[in-house]
Amino acid sequence: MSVEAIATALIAAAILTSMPLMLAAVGEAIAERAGLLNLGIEGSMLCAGFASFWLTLKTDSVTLGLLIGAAVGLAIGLVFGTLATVLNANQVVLGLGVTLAGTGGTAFLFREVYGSDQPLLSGGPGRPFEGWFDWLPVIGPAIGDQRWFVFVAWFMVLAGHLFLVRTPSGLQLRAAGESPFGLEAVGGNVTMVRIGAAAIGGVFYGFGGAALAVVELGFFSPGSTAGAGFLAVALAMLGRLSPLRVALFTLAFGLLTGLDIGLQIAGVDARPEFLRMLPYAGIVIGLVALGRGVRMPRALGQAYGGISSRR
Amino acid sequence: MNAVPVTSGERTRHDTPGADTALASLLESLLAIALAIAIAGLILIIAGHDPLNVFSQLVDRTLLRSAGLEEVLVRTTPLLLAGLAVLIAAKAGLWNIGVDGQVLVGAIAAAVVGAWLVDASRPVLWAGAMLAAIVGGAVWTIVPALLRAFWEINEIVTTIMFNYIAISMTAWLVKGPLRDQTLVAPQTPLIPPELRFVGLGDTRVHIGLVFAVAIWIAASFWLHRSVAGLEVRAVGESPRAARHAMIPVTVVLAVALVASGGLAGVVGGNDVLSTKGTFQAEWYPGYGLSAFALVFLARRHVLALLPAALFLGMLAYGADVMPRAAGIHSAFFALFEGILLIVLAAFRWRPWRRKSGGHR
Amino acid sequence: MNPQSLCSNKPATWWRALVPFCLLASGMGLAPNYGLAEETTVDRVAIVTPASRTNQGWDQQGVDNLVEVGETLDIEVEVVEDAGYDDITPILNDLASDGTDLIVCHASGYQTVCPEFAQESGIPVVVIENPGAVMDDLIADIETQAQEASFLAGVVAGLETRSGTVAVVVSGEPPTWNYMTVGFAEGLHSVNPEATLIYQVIGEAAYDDAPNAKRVTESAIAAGADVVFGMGDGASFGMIQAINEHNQDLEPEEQVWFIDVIGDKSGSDAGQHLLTSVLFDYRGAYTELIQQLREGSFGEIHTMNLENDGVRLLEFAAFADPDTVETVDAVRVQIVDGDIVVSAIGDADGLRERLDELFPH
Repeated sequence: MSVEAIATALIAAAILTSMPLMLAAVGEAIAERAGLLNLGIEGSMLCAGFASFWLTLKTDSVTLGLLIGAAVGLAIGLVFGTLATVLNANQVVLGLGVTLAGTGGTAFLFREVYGSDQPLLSGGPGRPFEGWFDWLPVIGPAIGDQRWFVFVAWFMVLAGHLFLVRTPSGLQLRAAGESPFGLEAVGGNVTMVRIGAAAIGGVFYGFGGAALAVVELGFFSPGSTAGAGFLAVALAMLGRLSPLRVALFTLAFGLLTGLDIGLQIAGVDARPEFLRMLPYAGIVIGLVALGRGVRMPRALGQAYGGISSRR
Repeated sequence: MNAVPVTSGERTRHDTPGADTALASLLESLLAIALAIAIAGLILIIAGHDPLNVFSQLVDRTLLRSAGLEEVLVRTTPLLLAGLAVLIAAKAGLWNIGVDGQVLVGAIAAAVVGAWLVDASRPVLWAGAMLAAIVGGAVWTIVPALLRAFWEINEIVTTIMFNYIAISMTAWLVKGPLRDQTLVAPQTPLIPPELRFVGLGDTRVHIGLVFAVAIWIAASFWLHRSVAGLEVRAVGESPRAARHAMIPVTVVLAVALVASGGLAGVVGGNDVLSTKGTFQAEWYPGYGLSAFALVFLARRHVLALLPAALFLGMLAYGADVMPRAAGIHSAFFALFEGILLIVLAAFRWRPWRRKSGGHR
Repeated sequence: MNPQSLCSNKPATWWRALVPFCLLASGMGLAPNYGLAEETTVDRVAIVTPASRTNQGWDQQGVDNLVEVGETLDIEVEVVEDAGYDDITPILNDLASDGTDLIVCHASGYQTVCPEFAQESGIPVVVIENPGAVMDDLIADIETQAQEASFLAGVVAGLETRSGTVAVVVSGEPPTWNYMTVGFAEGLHSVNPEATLIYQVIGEAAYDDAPNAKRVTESAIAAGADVVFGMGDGASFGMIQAINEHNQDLEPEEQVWFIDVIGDKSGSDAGQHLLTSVLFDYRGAYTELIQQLREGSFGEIHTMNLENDGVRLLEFAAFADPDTVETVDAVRVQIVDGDIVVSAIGDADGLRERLDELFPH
């Protein structure tokens, strides 16, 4: 097989596998902009993935599956946002709780519903642009032959970015994270804005988890997110909470992850465990190189108790 | 800055409680458990199981049988230490989510040094292995600690990344240079049972529990009675105020996180020297998230860590026996711990606390 | 005859010297027969597996085979799955307290903890891939010479590949699988030395990591492999899904085919892409073990190999070439007769060396 074809295949794989991660990371970036640190993405993605898998299996419709995944993500996001703002819940603990509950819960439910079986989805969403970009060497087919949801995901990322930087609501959202007192002083409602941000983030995680199950994998199994939720937090930070930058870093991460497979195929004799360390070490190095002195929203992770609580 | 406060605005006088707030904390913890049980019970009903049967079986098998009770104590030991590790970091305002990775590195270090000392006397072997465990866990935390202390790079992310790196690295080590060539499945050379932690009397409970309790007592004293402990807590409550008080905040942060890592390493050493006797390639006990549940169940009070650890130890052993006893998959207990964490997190809003201070 | 009768009330002093001897003799007569073969009743057997039988592979095959043997011999079988690799001693103790007569420890990762338990509790156990641990009446071992059967699988792959590229995808490197990888490579080399072999490890103990299994398999297919020999347990579903998606709307000649291990997935969704499988059949070994325990000769090494049908190839798919079937049968005879010797390499480094020798790049 030609080097070109293998390269195309690896790039295509990287694009596909980074897509759910991209959605989760961008969702987290948006939520963090409003001051919410959500470590429960892993749990949300698993719940959304399970729900979407279940519904797609029942109805044979990937679209319905994706939608219910987004709905589940939205619901969990709302719960998280409400608890974090109205009840001033400790966000880190809340997030870890959601992750633990989501991981255990989906594993438990999966066994309850499917027992010893591992059903597989056949088909999957179509590829509407197949062959359109073949004129562009190597990268062209890798992009063009993707399933339609990949393009939807990219559109969502772009929309998220434009929302944050171009719309008044986006400005309010950023203010809620940067200067909540300032927002309240001009008449905004920090609580509602944050809950809204959590909801938007939830929709992103929901789509991400659903896409992982019904678009990328074609099935759901307990633990299939494999740490994607935590990686999303890392990538959001690396991209300094800007949706476009986050998306770029996610793609780079996807390529780096595919590198270990590519090297193995090429017959490079490095032990696979070494190669598997690379993406994670890469993130740490990236944080050192790019993350120093980066200003996160001043109110990240802090509960907001109203102007009267200012110390 | 990149730091995410552990206290998140909560008033800090709750850390050293007077008698009435201690009682209130205990009641809150019990209430949280009760609420979690209720929610979990509801889920069981929806799934078609009988929650009364499940919970009664759980209590019976873990607490009402001597074999069960012994196992609970065995499980409590690593959990107590892991909770201590998380708590030390939390007191300095840091989140150590890398406990799992630090446990792995500490464990493999202890296994290797322990096997190397197999001809020495037992106390020497224990001391050497545990020292290696502490160093292993601490070394694994140095990079995240320095990045956090000096460059304010969020330790949540770095410690999580180091978890994944630890998994790959220890796997490479145990399959390659550190492998016992006489056995087929990859593990480090075995530390024979007679050289491991002795059992207490006739039971399965081993001396590791005694060590863990001793460390816990020592840590409590250190935290609340020493200058260093005071500095750690001061930095945790308000880094700015601590700086004004001439406390070297960066040093304290780095030392606290590394100490936390060292304690996590001890967990790994404990497991290797007691039940496992070796480091195996596919071992991943995953104490990290349970440690968080532990710390917040104990309302971040170091003295409450032991009862909280006992409770979680009971859940841990329960998860092992319940599949056979009641047909409940062990993942259900992870779900339960998660629900407990969510409830505990939400317990920031406590209207009954309005009078004893705090702005809410 | 009662030894005591020798020591009746004789007045002479020198007889008293015989008293200790008499006591010793009587003691021997009354004490239990350590070291001498003894019949044991076996009513209850348990099996402990690290993962769940849902993976339709390693864990399932052990469980299903033992359950079947239990039904035939009228023995109660207790299954403990998802035991993981943490300390399983409490589980073993739990089984012991329930009156289990024999415990099968179905994972190479249990190779040290189960012998320790047996020696402490006195309950016989069966371990795998640890011949050094066998002990009379207490510890037996099962060795699986799967490399012989996977040699045959390699022959099949070598004959059936159209593109000349074959992939081996594994979700870990436990000894049992390493044996098979090496055997497969040697079989492939024996009929198709010019072939390209891609060897991919998915991750660390990634037995349930279906997502990564799918990605790795997709890459292998992209690199040109059209026969995939997959060892994954739960992860195999990822591999199968990758092949499933690739094969949509393709003719059988253009499709990618899958060779499975241990279990028999031909009845499931996965069956349509299954070329064959290296089947592990524990029933013979389990039956022999239980009988030996009953008769008192327990504590041996049991080998599952091509000759005793402990490992064998599953019946080929309909789309396989009939000539292949004949060739494979002939090769099988050669192996059983000893004309072909398949290397037995269980460690990962040795495996890579051997693969490099056979298929240098």
